[in-house]
Amino acid sequence: MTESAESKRKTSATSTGKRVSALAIPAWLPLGGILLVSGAETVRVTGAHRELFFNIDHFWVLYMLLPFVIGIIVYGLVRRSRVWRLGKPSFNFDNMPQRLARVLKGGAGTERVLSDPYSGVMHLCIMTSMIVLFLVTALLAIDDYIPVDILVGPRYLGYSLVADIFGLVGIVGVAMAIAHRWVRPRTAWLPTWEDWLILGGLGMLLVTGFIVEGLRIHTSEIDVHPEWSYWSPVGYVVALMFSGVRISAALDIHTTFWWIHMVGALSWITLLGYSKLNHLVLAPANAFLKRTSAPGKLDMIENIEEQEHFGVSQLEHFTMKQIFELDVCVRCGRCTDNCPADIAGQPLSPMHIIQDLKSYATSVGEQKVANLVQGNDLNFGLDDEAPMVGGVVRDESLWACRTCGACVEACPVFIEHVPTIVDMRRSLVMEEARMPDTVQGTLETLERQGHPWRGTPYTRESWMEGFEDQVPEWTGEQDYLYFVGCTGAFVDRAQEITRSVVSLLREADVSFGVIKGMESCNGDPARRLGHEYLYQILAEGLIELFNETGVNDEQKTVITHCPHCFNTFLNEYPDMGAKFQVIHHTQLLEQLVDEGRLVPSADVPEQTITYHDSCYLGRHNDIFEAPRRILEQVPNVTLIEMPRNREQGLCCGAGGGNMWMEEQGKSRVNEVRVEEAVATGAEAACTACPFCIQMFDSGIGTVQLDVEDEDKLKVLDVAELLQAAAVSERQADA
Amino acid sequence: MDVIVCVKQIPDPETPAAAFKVDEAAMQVLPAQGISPVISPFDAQAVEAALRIKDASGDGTVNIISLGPDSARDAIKHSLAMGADEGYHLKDDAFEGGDAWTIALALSKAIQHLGVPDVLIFGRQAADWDQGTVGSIVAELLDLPSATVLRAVELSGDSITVSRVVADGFENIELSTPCVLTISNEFGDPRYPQLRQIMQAARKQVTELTAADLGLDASEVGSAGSRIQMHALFQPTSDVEVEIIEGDSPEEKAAGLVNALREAKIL
Ligand code: SF4
Ligand code: SF4
Ligand code: SF4
Repeated sequence: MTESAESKRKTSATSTGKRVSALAIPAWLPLGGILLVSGAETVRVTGAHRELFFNIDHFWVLYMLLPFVIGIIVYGLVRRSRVWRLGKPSFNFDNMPQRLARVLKGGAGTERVLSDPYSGVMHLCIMTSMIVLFLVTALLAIDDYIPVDILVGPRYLGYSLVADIFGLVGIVGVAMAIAHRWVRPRTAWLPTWEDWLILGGLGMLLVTGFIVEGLRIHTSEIDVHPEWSYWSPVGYVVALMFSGVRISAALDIHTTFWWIHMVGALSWITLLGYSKLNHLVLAPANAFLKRTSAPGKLDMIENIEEQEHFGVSQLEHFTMKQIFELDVCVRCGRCTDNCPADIAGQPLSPMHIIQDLKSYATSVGEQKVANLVQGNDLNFGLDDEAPMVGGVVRDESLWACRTCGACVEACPVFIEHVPTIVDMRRSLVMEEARMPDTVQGTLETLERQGHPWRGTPYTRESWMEGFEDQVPEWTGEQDYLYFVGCTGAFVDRAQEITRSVVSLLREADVSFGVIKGMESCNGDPARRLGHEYLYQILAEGLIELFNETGVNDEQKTVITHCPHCFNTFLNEYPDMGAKFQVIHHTQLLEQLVDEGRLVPSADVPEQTITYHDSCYLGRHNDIFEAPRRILEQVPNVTLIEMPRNREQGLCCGAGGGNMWMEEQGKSRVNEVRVEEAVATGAEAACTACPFCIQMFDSGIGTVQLDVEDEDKLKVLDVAELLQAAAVSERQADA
Repeated sequence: MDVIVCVKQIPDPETPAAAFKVDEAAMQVLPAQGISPVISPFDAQAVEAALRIKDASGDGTVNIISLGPDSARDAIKHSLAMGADEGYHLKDDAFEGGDAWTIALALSKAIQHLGVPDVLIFGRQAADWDQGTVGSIVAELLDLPSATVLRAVELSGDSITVSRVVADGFENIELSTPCVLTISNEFGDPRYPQLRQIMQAARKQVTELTAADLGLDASEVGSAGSRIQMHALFQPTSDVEVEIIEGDSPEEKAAGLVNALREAKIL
């Protein structure tokens, strides 16, 4: 069985992430060294200290301001929470250990931020600097309050040094962040006033902090205790810069900057309640709130026949968590940079979806809250607003989504774009019946014929023709049911793979059977296309068939041919009462090779192969290694990777029902992916998904238009390659 | 404006040929496994045309009549889900085995029973037998003007302007109401029902009418009243032969192809 998706997912935290966190440790080592030296210096500097409010009158004003500042922040967040609370309650506290671990690692530990080296280091600098400087300030205040002086002598000097170093680290971080926006902007980037206010403000605070320190040293320390001032290296340099300034003038400047620094700090911190700086608090909260189910799972609409609306067309149809998470977005652009649709120049950017909804939640959401407060109808005065679905978020963006989960995987603050996008699709399809013709055709075919392949010349049994006696009929006695699925049955290229799987299972003497002719679609395409009702009807029908034929039993395992069937059976069918186990053909084949029941020994031609991760096998269900291990065992095969692989794999373009849609935009996703595969220099691309195979085949047609047929990239299912290497001639001929 | 649409439930025309089977002895088409019957696509377009007329005129009703076995209810329900108001199911063992004539007779009686509306709409033909006659026979029986195979229908006051698809173009006609129209596929796609409407349609009562309800004797309808006799029903077989035309150059191959086409009397 597959390991629980999320737990394994964590162990395989992105490799770049690991690299950066590893980098981060040596970066802090020199600091430790300096601190050690400071220990040795202790004797010379006994008595070193400083006065908290040196040269400042009326400092009590600060203490007066503090409660106001906290009040302003809390007010901002509480006020905003009224918009979140427009949504439907959706609190789910299952799997607490996993949620808490995520808060620690992903929230406080910023694990995902680190997966991008540059912004990872940048963020680490700013974050550690802020934490350390906050503690330093707090410590100074505490020291002032309690009767015993902690910050004297060597302790004080060590303290000064730490403060100086982290102030500098902060400046480096801010500079990197500013440079990031100017010099190395991401493709999807949206710096607004917030960015400049937050960064500019923080930079200003750090710089004025050093100026204040420098002036204090210049006026009170450098002449009296020069050996103390070396412990504030940055302050010391600043002091030298002021060395020409008369002491009395320097004291005046000091007072001015001190106030600028302090009032600035208090004002800046209020941004916590009103800008994306709120991610300090909200991101860990969202790490907690993120679902613990497999990322590819869509949630059921329970009692669908009794619902007042289907899917989401109004803000208040979202769950509280879905509205809340709009405010968590820091506009980092990572989701969009990883989105296959955006990469191919199609009209979808997950960041813009989240941001546009956030603006909508601000304008319309606040108005709705006001209506509630005034006892008006929720939508009072909102008739002229553009509709959320179709206006704020355009139909074509919703349709372009592959539900591939690359955005969810990339988001450092744990936003789940896919359920939000599919919820809006649900309203398009079920509420408005507004969809591209191709989608309508697919749904109609699913309804009438029980499969999505409109116009296929085949029947469910076509793939068995001339092969029928080799396919054992399911009797209820065997261990495994091989679920062929619609694609494996109705699409000629996929039929070949179905036959390969069957002959491998026979070769390994697996006890399995096939429900001939009676299978029907498990409903996945309907569900991803937003037709939840049709999904439930199809799923109920199939589960009934499984009940009647003895498949729905904890002792039985269903082998799926298609990763989409796999995901639906494994993660979604339990909601519909499924009890059986699920395994993808690559997982089972890997086991069989492992147990020596399949021996890939035949000489297949020497070849280099690149493996394309199917999203619904890989990112959504963490099956990255089984197919690769099979390939590694086949003689004469060298496996090479495309730059985007495993968690970062790029969708072939078929997911989310796009298999049956016309693509809009600059290029096609499958062409982008084929180009990546061709660029590796591999002779063949292997995958484990019948959709990927079709997408690759059609992409090669255009990408390698001018290439001779025998030099074109070959596209194979892992099972086909294994069959060539492991199925004996006798059976292959039969 | 009040409209009545007559619809028929048929085996899904998208059924792949390989799944299509005929019982030659019983002279019957065997339903394909796992493929549900559907409303004839032209009839769905007819319902779409009716709904647009109702919308354009601002009031009125769209009612549906279907003659057939139990499964015909689904065609009616589908039309109701699209937005039609009431459904009437002509259901009687006596109707079985009928031809276009007996069906048109029963339909015309039902229409008179419900009251002749402003417009009566049919699909240009049922996509199973493709005869395309019922609409015209009903128009004759009710003595109404008719226009067939339409690609566009527009209201102009009390009359209706339509555009017919003809062999070499279009023919635009104006009809007075009441009249009979048959809709062609050029009219455009029928709407996809909203889920709420599907659920409402599922709850709606469909009125069943028997031959007796319509004042028809069992001898007038069904196989008893049929004017067409079926003598045989079989699937035609077609053989495909592949001939590869050899040649050293493209020109030679092309010349060979032309010769082969001439021999086959295609050129
Ligand atoms: S799921 Fe994939 S296609 Fe959809 S928005 Fe996210 S990255 Fe883009
Ligand atoms: S949704 Fe997440 S990944 Fe996308 S821009 Fe916002 S924070 Fe970044
Ligand atoms: S077809 Fe393959 S790559 Fe594309 S979405 Fe599906 S699983 Fe992902």
